[in-house]
Amino acid sequence: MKQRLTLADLASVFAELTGESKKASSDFLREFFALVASALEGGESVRIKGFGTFKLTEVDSRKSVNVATGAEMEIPGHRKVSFVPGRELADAVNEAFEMFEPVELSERVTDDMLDSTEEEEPEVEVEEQVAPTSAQEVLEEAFEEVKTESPEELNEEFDEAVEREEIRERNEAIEHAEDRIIEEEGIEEEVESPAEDEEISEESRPRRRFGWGFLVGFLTAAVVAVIAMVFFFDWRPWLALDKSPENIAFSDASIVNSDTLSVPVPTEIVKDSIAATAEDSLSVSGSKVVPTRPSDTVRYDTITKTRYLTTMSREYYGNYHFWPYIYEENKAILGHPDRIRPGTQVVVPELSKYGVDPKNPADVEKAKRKGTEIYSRYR
Amino acid sequence: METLAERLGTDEESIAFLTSALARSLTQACGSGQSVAVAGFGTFETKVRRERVARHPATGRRVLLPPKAVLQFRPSAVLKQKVKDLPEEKS
Repeated sequence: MKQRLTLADLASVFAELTGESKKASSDFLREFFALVASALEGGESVRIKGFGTFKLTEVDSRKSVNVATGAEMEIPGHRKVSFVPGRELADAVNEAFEMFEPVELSERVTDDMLDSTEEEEPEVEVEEQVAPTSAQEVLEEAFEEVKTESPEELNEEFDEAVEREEIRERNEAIEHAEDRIIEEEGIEEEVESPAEDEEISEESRPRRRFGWGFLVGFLTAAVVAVIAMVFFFDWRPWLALDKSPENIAFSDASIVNSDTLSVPVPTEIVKDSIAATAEDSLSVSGSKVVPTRPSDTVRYDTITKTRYLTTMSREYYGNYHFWPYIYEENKAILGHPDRIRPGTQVVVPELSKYGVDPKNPADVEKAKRKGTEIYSRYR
Repeated sequence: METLAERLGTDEESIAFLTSALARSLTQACGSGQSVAVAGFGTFETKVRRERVARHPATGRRVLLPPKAVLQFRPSAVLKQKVKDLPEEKS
């Protein structure tokens, strides 16, 4: 606990300062406080220039509970007295900390970085009777590095921070970044002692900037690599296990024959309202050797850059919303519906197989839902 | 609000000097974290406030406020009692 001084102690200090006798000093002080007290009693705040203000605050009554009995009780309205030090007094008290100024923070500083400065406190609240100056010395020592940094270096840090500010959003990787930075940049300004944690947190801010940059760079490169792989690798054939090699062969063949294929195929057998292909009823889909399908005639079509499942759906079924059924029929060889490789040959089934009718609005809804469901498989 | 000036018992206009002296002596006494207790009145203590993050009200930017020591006054029970009851009008 701090040491408690009494009025007498205060009086002796006062006597020193003023050159008055101790007796006179203590009389004055006693008088002083008595006066303040009586003024306060009278309901008036007391403002003393160069010292401070003793002010009164009104508090309304409030409900509370008697802690002993648990019964409700009311705390009546009353006044409270408080003291606000004047400017000079406050500054004088704060002398030990005078060297500090508010520092503007970059956006990267988080609360846990700031916590490291808590350790300063014990040094300030000195328990023995130490002259004020030594407390100051200790503090000065502890904050020495920080102080020398102050305007210039912090400005640099701030500028760097501003530059990189756009890129960073996350806080979790700060520690990782710190580790990397320590490796990369050497230990020159590394310090162990806790009193200099603040220094670390301030100085390593620019280093954190570097770490961030590398991290983001690596991630971007990785993402780009993955995307490149997706585009350049054709992994469709690996999925065509069920449908067997024919489809692969057909894919190749159909690339060549795509034109001839797509035209003769749409022989309408079902209740479709396709107008375009009038002439094509002649050729039968059996022009290709194909694994046999139950009942309905097999229709093939090929995806191209301009010919999608929806295109086929519109042609064969009269409504593009029914593409999911073409998809389902061929799902073994298809991946993401928006990413079907041009040249992929698909079987266009009869809708009767799925029991849906393009003319039926309820079925249209059903088809749409199926489409959503297919997409959701790839979420 | 009652300003100091002449309102002090037996003393004269050297009040200003005296009060600043009082302030200084209080400071000195409280200097290294000690508290001063005045019987029947209260105690003056110094407390350290840690540095903290605040927002500049105008710019909205975050600022690190340095740690500081503040003077705090705790009224004694006696004083609190005297002050407690509300008269009709307030200042």
